[in-house]
Amino acid sequence: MMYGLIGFAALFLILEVTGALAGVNRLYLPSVTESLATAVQLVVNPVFLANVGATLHAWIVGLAIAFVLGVPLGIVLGSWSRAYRASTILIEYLRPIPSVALIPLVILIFGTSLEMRASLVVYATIWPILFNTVYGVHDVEPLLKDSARVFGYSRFEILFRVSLPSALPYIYSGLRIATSIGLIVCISAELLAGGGQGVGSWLFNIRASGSPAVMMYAGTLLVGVLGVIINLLMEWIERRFIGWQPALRGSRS
Amino acid sequence: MSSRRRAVLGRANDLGWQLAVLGAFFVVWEIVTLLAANPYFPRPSMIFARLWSTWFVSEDGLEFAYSAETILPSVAVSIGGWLVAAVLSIAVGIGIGLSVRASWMLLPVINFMRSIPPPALLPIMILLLGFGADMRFALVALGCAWPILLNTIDGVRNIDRALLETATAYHIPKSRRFFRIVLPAASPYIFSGMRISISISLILIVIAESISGSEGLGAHILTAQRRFQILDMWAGIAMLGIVGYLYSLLLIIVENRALAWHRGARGKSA
Repeated sequence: MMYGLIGFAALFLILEVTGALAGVNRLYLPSVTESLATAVQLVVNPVFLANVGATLHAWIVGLAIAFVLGVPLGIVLGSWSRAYRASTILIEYLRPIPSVALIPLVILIFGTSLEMRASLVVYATIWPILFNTVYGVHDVEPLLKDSARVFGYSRFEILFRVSLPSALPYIYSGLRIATSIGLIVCISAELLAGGGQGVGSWLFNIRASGSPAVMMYAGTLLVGVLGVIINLLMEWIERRFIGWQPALRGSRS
Repeated sequence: MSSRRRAVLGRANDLGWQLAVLGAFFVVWEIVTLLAANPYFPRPSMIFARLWSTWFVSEDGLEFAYSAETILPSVAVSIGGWLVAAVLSIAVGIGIGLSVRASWMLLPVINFMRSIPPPALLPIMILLLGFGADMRFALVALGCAWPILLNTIDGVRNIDRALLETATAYHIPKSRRFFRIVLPAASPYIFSGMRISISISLILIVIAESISGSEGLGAHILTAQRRFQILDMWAGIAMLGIVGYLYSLLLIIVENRALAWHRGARGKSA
């Protein structure tokens, strides 16, 4: 923690001093102090906050839909081995299509609305959730399932009391990957849509609206802070609720 | 039946199964789009026919010129930016990872930089560098750098201390230690960072090209959309899927070659 602060302070000093010595054009490369001051103002700026809210809204809606669709589908595919084989083949071929390639199509269908961004988030985030669920359910230690069967558990009891709890860390790590992919796709869609709401559109329209460039730096900085907050939140939930599961502890995407 | 023959048959069976699943997927897609008759969702047979005539062979002959204009810039800039990011990140990451204090100081900074969704950097990149290829290159390189950098640092920090201490005890020279111990031990981590980055590079190049709108597959897709040429847009999306598939294939091949010793070593000990 202490060292981290030193790191940030050092970076700050280096940027300030080299910026001042090199005499860069402050219209394009504003000083860190100025950017930070603007960022502080932006945090209470209602227009900026409304745009951040619009991004988060589409992000949450998309993630929720992807989760509700992806997890049950993943459970079915993971516990039925024929479907598992077929699905891994399809996933392998479909996954490389970058979700951003679909942005033009989705803009065509939905315009710049919330549905446009949310549906893109669904497409982009359902893969990691689905894939990790399939993998987690499929990879349950067979011994556990066999023991449960010996003790007279029904298929459903095995699913809910053995398979799902042991797949939970996999599902959660899929969700964690999905949260950052979702934010990337959401902001990309807003950038490409140009108009409409969202922090991506806000950033992209700064220059067109004649606002100073320092707003752009401050906004980008705050988007980074948003990313950090989301990450910390996800880590906290993981520690708090599924920390008992040793299987994937310490694994990262 | 000999075990070898069985293995070959098993692989053939697997391939047959894969083709069957893919074939079924396309048939279902074809039927659904045929029945839905929605102008935004053309039939896959039409999409792939358009893909073929746009980038490979049309009535006018080979379409090399258009491929060179669209696929080449996308691939060159995204792979180039990714490679430059990899070389720099691996070098810097090993430097940081070897020093405990430096990694404590810089990890939070790097983690913060990585938390900025890379597309959000696009407006700043356009402000500083304009809409040209150098802007796209810089954006890809910047976006790809963080995962590789973080993983390299992680990899170096996780090297078995005993290995390094043994090397010190035997007075193994620094350069030899670097190439024979540090780099190989960190390489599985480095490759996993590079794998994350290569998909980021494709995402970023598509967004950057769509916005600058002059060349590349991203520009092709967005221009087609603006002109309501739905079939051309879908052909572009499919082409991008093929490029993405080739990227991951490339990485798997490189990884299998470079890390074969690693899996072998682990397999023996298990």
